[in-house]
Amino acid sequence: MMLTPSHLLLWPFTIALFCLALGRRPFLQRAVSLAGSLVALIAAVLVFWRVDDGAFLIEQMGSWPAPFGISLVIDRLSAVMLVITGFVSLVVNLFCQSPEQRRTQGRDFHALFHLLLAGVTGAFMTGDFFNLFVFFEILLLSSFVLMIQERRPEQFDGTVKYVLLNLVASMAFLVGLGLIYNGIGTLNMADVGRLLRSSNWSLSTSAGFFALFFAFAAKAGMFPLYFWLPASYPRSPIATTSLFAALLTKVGVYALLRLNAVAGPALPPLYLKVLIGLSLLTMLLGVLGAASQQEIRRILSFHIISQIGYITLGLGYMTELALAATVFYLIHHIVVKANLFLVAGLLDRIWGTTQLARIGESLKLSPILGLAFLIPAMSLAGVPPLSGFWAKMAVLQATLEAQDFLSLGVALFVGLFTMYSMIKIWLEAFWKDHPNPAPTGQLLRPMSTSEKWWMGGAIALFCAWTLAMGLGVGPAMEFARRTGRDLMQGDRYIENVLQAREAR
Amino acid sequence: MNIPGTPLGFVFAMTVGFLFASGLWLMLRRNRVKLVVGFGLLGHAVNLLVFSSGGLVPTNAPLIASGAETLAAHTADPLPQALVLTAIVIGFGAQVFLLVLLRAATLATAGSAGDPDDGSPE
Repeated sequence: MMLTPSHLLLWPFTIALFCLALGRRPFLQRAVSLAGSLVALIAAVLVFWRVDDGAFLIEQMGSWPAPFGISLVIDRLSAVMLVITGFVSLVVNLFCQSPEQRRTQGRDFHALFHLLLAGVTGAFMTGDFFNLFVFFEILLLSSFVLMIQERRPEQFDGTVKYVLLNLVASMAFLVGLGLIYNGIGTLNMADVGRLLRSSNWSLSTSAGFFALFFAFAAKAGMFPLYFWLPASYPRSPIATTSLFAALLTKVGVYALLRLNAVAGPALPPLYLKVLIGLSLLTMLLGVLGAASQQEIRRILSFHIISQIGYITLGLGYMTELALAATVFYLIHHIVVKANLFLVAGLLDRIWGTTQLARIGESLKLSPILGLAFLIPAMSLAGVPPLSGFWAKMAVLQATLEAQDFLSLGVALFVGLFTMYSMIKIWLEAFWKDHPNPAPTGQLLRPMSTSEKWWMGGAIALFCAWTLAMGLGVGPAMEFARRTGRDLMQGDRYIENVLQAREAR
Repeated sequence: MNIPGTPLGFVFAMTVGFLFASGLWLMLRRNRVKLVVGFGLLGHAVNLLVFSSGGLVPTNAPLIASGAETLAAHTADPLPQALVLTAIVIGFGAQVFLLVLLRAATLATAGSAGDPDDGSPE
């Protein structure tokens, strides 16, 4: 039997149902959840291999031909996003298996975890803007509940901000859909692309396009709508934060990428200039916000924002090189960020806090832990030969190609400040003496061997990905180039989707 | 997209605009009840807007008459109606969740002085 997109989509829903049903049998529930993540990753890799030769995997729901029914489309970009989603879900799931994490998880944690993944998976493969809205809502509602799983009072404040901003962004999304439908009479991505390219934009279409941009940018955490992110992420349970940091803002970025790719040459030049300007502001304000923070998770949350700026910068140039840089940066960043949050969770487990002033000497405690922090941290800052260096270099190349020296300067400056933040965490958490000298080299609460293996194993897998992407940059960058070329040739996507009568 | 000689489109647009304005106004108040009411109004505004995207003209139901091969002229566009139905259901779910969340937040933070380490000096 051949794998089709709907199999990949139904799988996490099925696992979520099983996890819900097994609420009273925690061991079985965790086993099903872990197996579900593993199978999802394998399926995504299989699909990736089939798509990487340039084919499209297209399925028309209910066999309605393209502009009438809902299409599920997997091209190179979707496939690589699915692989990375599967990988992150598997590794975070491993982290969640540690006894300490289990203690704080609610009974329906794993069900919500897979529902969230179902939403993310659907968002990455749908070929219809309204369907994208539905998957956004699925992943948002599961993320809302995951965020307040522990029900600690201080979590509610940030969650309310997060929920409200995201609901308002969803409203803007709907407004955009209504206006675009009014303007061109279709919501199928390929058909929208065809009509945007071939016709003049009416007022309704332009307003709808802007509303969609607003919605996606807010969900991606771009300037000026990023305040919800540092308010909510640092308070959530750490495994949840790690998953959110990896995937949720990136779904917004993916939607922007898709929107740009289908509209292609029809994009208004002013819009591209605005996109570049907002990206630069996002980068700058994120990194400056991080510099003023004294708590690891807050620092990392601000760095999500600043890195989003790097990712969206490539979208503003709309050249093959720039889009390749965006794709490469996306793949690199998802893993690095999730990893840093897991390391922060481990530090929290060891010291009971992640306030920089109250911890220290982690290096003396465990040199391996120091290495586990250094790899993603230096990758984030862009030190060769780790993946972040190549990602930054690709973005810088794109700015050079566009002769945009302002963006080049800002990107370099922000890179320097990222380094500053990472060194700050290193010095405070790993290097300096512990402020409370009594328990030198002693854990607050001893960690069992199994706990060390689950948590350490998860972090090691993420580190391995970062190293592999850094050392094997040749094939990785080649793939990003191919994807960038795909995205520039939106015509091929449009033709393939509109011609496909049935999934094969 | 308007019936010549009737102000339906104008009235519709004014209604949507008014709902948007009052919804946003209520959401910007510092009061959780008004926040939820405002969110509800905003939802109505958006739903009406999506509904109107198929055009506001008196038409027949989009059913193919028996014996005919295609739709007759002047039939309604069924898609915005399907979209708005989905949007209403999702919006309703989101609003219920918002209510529960705000209630839990009010109960949990009653008596506390707000965010302990919100970046402000302790």
